[in-house]
Amino acid sequence: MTLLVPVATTRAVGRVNPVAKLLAAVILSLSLLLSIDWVSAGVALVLEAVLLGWAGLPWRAFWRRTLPLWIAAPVSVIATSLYGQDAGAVIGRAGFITVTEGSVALAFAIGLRILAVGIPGIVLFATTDPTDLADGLGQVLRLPARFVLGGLAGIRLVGLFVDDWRQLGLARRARGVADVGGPIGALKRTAGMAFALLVLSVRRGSKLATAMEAKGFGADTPRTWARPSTFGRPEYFLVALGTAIAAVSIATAIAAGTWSFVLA
Amino acid sequence: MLAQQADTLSEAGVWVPGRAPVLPARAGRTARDGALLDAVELGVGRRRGVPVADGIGARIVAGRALAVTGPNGAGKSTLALTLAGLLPEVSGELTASRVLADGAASSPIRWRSRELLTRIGTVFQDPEHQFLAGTVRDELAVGPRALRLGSRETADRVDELLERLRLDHLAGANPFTLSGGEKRRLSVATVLVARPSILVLDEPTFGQDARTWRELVALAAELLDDGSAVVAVTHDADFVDVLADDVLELGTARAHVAARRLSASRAARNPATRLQQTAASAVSGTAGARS
Repeated sequence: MTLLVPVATTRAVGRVNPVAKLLAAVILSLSLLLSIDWVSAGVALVLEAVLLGWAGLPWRAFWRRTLPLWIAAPVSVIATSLYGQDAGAVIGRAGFITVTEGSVALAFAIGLRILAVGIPGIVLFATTDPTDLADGLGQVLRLPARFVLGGLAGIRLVGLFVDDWRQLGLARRARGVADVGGPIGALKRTAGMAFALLVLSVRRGSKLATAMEAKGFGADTPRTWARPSTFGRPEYFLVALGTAIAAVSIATAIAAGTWSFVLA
Repeated sequence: MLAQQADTLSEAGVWVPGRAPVLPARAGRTARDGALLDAVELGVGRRRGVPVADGIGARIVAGRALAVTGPNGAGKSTLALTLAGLLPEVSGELTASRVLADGAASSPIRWRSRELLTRIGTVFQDPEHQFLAGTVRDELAVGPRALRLGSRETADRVDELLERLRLDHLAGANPFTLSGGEKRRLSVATVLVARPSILVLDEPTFGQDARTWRELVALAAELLDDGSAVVAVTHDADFVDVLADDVLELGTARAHVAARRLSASRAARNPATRLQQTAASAVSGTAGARS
């Protein structure tokens, strides 16, 4: 599960407070979700592509992590052009399927939007260590420590699921039951392993809860933090950058006359 | 107060500071002439092509115990799982002798799950990973059933182990509800019930009370005297002292087995002596332990 491990980078983006990355990504995504048109999404995507060089993510890691988007975007383009709301000239027709200029335009608006919203989030979080994010959420955004650190511990434990699953499989082989019963037997064993994993997880969860209780997370006295999380110039700059991309793409779309506010 | 009650406490399974564990006598360490498993230039890892340890030479011999030691992350558990026929070797070769293979393929990873049962038994680090049944009794019967032993033979083996490992009063309990020591004893029992020629143990004594520790050591010693081989991954210096005939130290540049002699093993309580001893044996170039 190497995708769970943050990419180490020497670029400035690696040192920026994750809360700033979160804010920048949220501002950008929300503004792009206000309209469905291809101009605003396209402009945002181009600006993001320019900034990719500073994202601290090697190309291999970039493609691997954004792979779901490159699958989701074309699929939604095809689906929307075939089944989307029809408008304008008919381009093709087959049975009850009609492809029109309107549905194609809508399809590209949606496809580009998936990429424009998805890429900055994935790229910014690829270089984010969950511990830093938790520190930021607790200290900068002042979220409750119990909630933040419980969540962090949960993320950290996801890696253990993978190990557990592997061990459970090996143990079935060691116990002499790994190759009986054909496909139905295999299905039963998978169900058994899933249940065992559930039991192990619940137990680990309650152990974690006890440990947190023992460390005083149930108390309402203010907690101190081992690693200070600061919010300074680089952080404001990143948030401003996200806001600027959003503003430019919206302004361009309005100027081009393609802007269509979803709530209007 | 502690000194007065030391015997009682130790008997009850409490680790008393400054009190060395009682070491059971091993009858004869004269190894039978039988290499069971040979590792040559073995590389082990969880993923293909990515070894966590390689260049390992070791020989598992009937009646001898091999202790695998080394720092965390050195690949001890991965090696144990590979020797146990559960993970494919990343490089090098692991070959079962004709005696061990007994008609099956010469490479343990190619054995069927059922063929593995009587040849190599593995006790996992976390007992909960290997529990399959709803009661302790059914748990012990999993192996014999897979081997298609008759119901009487199964019952005999299960009863014997239940008693031997003080689990008889728990026969109807769910394995997941047992205490740590009980889980460990059950996980060992589920493997022994199939009577494997090689027993692979991953940190068997970790977190155990003094009484379970003594029982585990005695059990392993008995198996060795009966001609089984034992491979144990362990950090437990006492366990190594009492049981190990050979020590494989991972994490150094290239791992070699250093053969230990019984006479020297007691003297080796002093860590410095042991270090020299291991180093000396390694330098003498024993790529595999010879008995």
